[in-house]
Amino acid sequence: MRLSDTALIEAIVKLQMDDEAIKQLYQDHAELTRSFIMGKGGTEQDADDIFQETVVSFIDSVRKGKFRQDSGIRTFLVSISKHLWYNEIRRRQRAENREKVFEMDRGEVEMDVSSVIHNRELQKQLQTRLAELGESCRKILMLFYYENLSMKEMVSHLNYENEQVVRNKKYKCLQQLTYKIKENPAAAQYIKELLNQ
Amino acid sequence: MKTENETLIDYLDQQLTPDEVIRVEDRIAHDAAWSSDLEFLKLAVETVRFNALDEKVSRARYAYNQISKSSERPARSVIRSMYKMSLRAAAVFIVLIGATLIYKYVSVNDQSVYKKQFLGYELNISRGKENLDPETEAYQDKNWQKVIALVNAEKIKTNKSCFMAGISEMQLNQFPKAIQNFEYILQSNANKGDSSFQDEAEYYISLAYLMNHEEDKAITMLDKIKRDKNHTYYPIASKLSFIDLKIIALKK
Repeated sequence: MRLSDTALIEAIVKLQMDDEAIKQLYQDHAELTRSFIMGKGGTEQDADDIFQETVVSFIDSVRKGKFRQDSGIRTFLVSISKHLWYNEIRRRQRAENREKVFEMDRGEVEMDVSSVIHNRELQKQLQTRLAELGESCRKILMLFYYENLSMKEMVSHLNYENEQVVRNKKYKCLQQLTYKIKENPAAAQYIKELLNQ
Repeated sequence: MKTENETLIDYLDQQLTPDEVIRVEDRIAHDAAWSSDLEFLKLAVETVRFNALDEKVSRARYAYNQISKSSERPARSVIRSMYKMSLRAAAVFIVLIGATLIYKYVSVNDQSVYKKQFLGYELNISRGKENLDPETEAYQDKNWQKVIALVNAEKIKTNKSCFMAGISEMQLNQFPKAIQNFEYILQSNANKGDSSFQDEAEYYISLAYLMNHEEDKAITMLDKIKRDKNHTYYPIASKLSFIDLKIIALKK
């Protein structure tokens, strides 16, 4: 079943059929991004990495209400990919090529999506902290905060004794993650700026 | 008795009573430490959601690449022009068809279909994730026994871990055990209304059924995949011909 753009956005927002939505984003838009990245000096691996980040950023922005449908999904995705690729070029410090490519193509970026991707680097750092918690904590937090399972469902899914045991474990895991995030200077700075706004 | 931090977590999870919400919001408004703690908790939750989403997209990326590569393979069949075929040529053709069918009947079996259709499943590890969990690391190293041991020892089994265990069992030709793992995923998804690793489990369980001589179940599942153009494994499953499936059904 193919989803219209509106149905696709709705599926993402409501967390329903989001696997279908992600699959369709790949089927409809991955090739275009791949051509662009590979045409600008990237490898196939680069193109795959950038499109993966693009889809994650796109879905995140849809769920946070930052995507306005009048711009069109394809235009939005292409703009995110271009930004991410230019940032990647900068990061790799290919000074000579960078200036050339970046200056040449700056005008091609159709829309300002910098707010969509601005804390992506911070998120990458924080993913490492989450991995440090271990698999059981990561699973509990993912089931609760992403899959939206109730405590009751989590008890049967995870084979714990009762809801209170899962609840306590979840408290502990989220607290551990928060402590680890607090230790990250970039995260501390981000929160500081947020509170001063 | 809840700690202050647990109360804040419950506030974030919308698990407090209206009276408790008022008290917590008042505290947040007047206590900078609480306000800061709340923002850190929000960032932690966002990190979890990002991670889960990244994992989902990573799986879609792998499936997409696998299918793209598969559809790039050159077609083997040669289409011959049949114009102006003489009666003799027709007879030769019929003989050839007969010979082909006989050859097909002899050569097509569970094993041959399995060899043709089974693709080793590689996990797609996205950039920057140095800290893999032990079972994923063992899977990456193709240490199938270790993957199975780790997953069996797990108190919490996810669809991902069951899927890795299922593929590992297949690699070791332990098809009944592979079926158990994939059935767990399908049952779990049916109970929760989820679709995590659904397409993957459906495809690989059909192959495991074949090798476990449960041809009816295998054919039913492969038919289901072949009817669903949006199924991740549709392009691969649809290469399996109707005749091949019929031969398998006849031979069982």
